[in-house]
Amino acid sequence: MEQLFVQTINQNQGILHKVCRIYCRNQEDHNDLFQETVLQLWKAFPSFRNESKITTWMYRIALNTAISGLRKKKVAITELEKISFQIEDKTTITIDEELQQLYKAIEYLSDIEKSIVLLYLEDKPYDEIAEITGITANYVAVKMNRIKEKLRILLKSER
Amino acid sequence: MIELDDLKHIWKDNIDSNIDKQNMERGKIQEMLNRRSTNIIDKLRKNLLREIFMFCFCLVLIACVPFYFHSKEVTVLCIVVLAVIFIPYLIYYIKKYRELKRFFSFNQNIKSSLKLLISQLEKYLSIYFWGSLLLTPVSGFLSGFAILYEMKALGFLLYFDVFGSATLSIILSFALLLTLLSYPLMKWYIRKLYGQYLENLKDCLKELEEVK
Repeated sequence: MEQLFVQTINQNQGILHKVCRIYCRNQEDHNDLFQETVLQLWKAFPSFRNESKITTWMYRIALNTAISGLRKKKVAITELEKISFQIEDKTTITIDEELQQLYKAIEYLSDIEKSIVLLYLEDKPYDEIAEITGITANYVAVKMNRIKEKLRILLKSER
Repeated sequence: MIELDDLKHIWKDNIDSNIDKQNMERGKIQEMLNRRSTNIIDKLRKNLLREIFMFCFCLVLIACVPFYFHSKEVTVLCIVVLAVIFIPYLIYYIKKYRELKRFFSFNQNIKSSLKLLISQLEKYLSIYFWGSLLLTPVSGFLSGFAILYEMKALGFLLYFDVFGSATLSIILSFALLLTLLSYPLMKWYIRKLYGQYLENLKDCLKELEEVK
């Protein structure tokens, strides 16, 4: 079983890194969350019955671990507009900059919103997002619209 | 304006290329599995184990008291305290510990997992609060009694009846006062320990339960 577990982790370690990237702001937190998630996956591994896809199962465990983790205090926001940051007025913005801006905007989302955004960025269908989060697919769509609007304010720029 | 959809492909390309694709060795994963978990349930379980050890220590201490005092009343008092408070609570704590050891909610969806986690945490905090509050008058009474008894044995308070109803009433009042004072203190301490964390979990659940 241990061999199979190691193989599963190696094949899907991208999932764990992506969850850690969304929820952690520094490398130390990233490593801690990665280790904790591996530990929780190991605990859950014997009960995995192939009822869902292995990736869905991994996202579920990883997101549950991240959301319920005892992390440092989040950035407090009172008024979204106040902290909305402007992208410098450039005609060309590099891909790396765009990604950094995305990360920065995501930092201001709630833990639940982060999980939905991550699954959305991973191109997961609403049904699968619903299966992982426990809400209906319709409500995922509603949430997604709200998140997009929130991000739009955060990423407000003159491009 | 940059839209989330525009960033989908950038996210995929960028993060996939940045992730270390090298296979992790079995030893490295094994090392991760041997580390201490920072999970809340594991922390609660460890705290409960500490409480169980404390209870056992107190239980042995109280069981030894009659051998020191050689008094029928003290023996009866100790037996009552052990039988009514310590032993039932110890059994309950051990039961809770075993329940926490089996508890695992992460293979459920986020909403169900949060519900289970919140209910488990609230249950634990309630046990911890009432357990500590119950022990305060007991320890206050026993300490007060032991101090007075010892003082009399040392030759002080010569005309003082340790087992007299007036004395016992004074000690009992002292124990109750101690309990009243410890009530807000315990509330504050538990809130400081897990209050904010519990609120965060409840906020997450509320977000998932939103109907509109």
